[in-house]
Amino acid sequence: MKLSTIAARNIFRNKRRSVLSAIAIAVAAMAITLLFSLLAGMKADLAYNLQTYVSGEVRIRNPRFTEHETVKPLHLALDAPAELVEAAVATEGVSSVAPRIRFPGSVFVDDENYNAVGIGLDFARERDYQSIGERLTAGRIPASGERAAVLGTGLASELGLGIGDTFTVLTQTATRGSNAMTFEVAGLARFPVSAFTETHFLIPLDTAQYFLRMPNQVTDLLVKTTGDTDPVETAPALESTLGGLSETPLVAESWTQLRTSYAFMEIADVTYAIMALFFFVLGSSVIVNTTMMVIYERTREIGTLSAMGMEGGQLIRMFFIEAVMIAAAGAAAGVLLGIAITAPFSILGLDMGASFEGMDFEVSNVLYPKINLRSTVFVFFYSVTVAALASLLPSRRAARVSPAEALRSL
Amino acid sequence: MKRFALLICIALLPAVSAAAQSAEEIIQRLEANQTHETSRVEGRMVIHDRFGRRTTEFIMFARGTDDALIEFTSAEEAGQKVLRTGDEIYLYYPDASELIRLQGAALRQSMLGSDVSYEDMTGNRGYLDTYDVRVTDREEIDGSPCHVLELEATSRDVAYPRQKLWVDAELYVMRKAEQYALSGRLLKVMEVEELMREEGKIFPSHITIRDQLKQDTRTEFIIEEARINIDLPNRIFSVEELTW
Repeated sequence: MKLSTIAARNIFRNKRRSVLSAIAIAVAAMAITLLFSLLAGMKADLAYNLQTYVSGEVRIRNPRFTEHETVKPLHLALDAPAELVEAAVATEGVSSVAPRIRFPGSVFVDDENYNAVGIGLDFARERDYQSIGERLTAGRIPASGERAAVLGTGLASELGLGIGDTFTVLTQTATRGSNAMTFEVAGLARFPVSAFTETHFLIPLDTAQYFLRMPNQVTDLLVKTTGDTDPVETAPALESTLGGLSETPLVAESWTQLRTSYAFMEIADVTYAIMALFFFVLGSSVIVNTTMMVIYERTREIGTLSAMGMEGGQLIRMFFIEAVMIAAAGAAAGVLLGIAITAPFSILGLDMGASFEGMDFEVSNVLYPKINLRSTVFVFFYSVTVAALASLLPSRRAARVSPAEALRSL
Repeated sequence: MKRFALLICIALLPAVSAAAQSAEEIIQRLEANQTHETSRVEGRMVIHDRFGRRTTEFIMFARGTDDALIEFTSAEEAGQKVLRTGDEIYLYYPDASELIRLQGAALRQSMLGSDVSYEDMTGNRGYLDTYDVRVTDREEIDGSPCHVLELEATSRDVAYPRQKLWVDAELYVMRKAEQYALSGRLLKVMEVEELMREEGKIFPSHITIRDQLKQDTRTEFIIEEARINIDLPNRIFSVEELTW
């Protein structure tokens, strides 16, 4: 009789043991699949948020601004007249452009002082760039030139402000003096990143330029590229096209070249790798433990098989085949279950708001896990391999035991 | 620098001949010189930092040691005002529909990016009310003999727990001041560069302040024109008038 047939019979002979073993492997495979999906979702989300709210896929700015960024030197802004922005939009591979001024400010409400971050932006362009309209939870988008703002709902709540209320912002201007301006709350918005929702307010770009004494200037020109375009290749093209249109020096850099921005991704990669490793160790230990226990508890059976003439090598191969069969069934079930659980969340999202509250990290409150075919196939084969290898140690040991000793052990 | 207001006021004081005195007497004579019924000063503030230098012009009205109003007149800050009344600091900006009353940590903000914080402008009590003073030395500054005084705060309600003053032994005007944190760290240094004579009075007309916590910065206060004991309507030091 073929060993594979014996192995298959063994599996069905003791269904409860086989099912329990397969379930343990399935749970481990499912957990790893879920983790992989969640990590892939978090990574994609982090990349989107960095590109949308921090650096764009390509960031254009005055290089001296970056050099002195810690002191927010608005006087080292980028000269960005309308024709420069239009030229950026017209560059091949560019899908949308967002001119912005980012500035820190002290917000005064009823004699109380709060720290906040203001962003002057072109709301019309932001409709394409970040679907700003979808972020609004109440009110409206301010008109160009209006002294009105969209507040993050968290900031509005902290300041005790609602639609129609006013607040005054004191900040340093590009002349390195100070200025204060009063804004009406036109709208409230919830951004994917809680840190933005809790600290940011948005005002029209031209209002910000007047407020901060920055005529036709911005701190950043953020660029998103079309799907098949590599931002690393687009950046030099933009720099060369726009260089002649700005009176200030400018540098265009892909977000992967930006230390502050891409560092987040690198940190995330390391963090995710550690989490994945932890889960792998945990999952592997479940698989190894289950497989080894299944063989160890069958010493008497091994003795019987040996007494009937089965040799050591045959015993090892039989247990190996048995482990592979159980692991394949368990891992397949686990991976499919993982995909089944992930699929609805990848559309509906997983609200992690409470977990991420107060974290200054560009990951959204609602995460959309991503199913990755490559990683799920990997999880399947990994689980089967671990189970198969785990069967070798106890079966080799069992094969060395004499039939009499094996039969006596129980 | 409450001392911005005070130093400019100091300046407007009559020179008094010097004699050997106790620390308390020196402070009393210094403070007597700093107190004016009213004054009006036109000047400019030159701020030097790593990016270069910029100039802000201002007109300052003062009444006694309690009230001062600074109105900035240079184009970038035109119409902006700082009102100090007692221990309160109010900021008026033409683009803001409400006054900003500074308090708490906000007082530590730099005034127009200079080496002077708004906190420096608060506090109208005399040195002897808030510090223990003692004469430690006599030194010359730019050829002028000076009493060197060390001040230790007796109250927590002061911006600088320790100060060291160089008071001109003949004119009873401040020549130099160093301000320290409780830890002994030097925070700010003020030096009088020039004196001005006007209507028989002598006072500093050019003061340089260096915030030791910032790198490569200094702020110069230069008085172009000063008038003392002039008629000033009470209303100019009122919060209501500020928004006018």
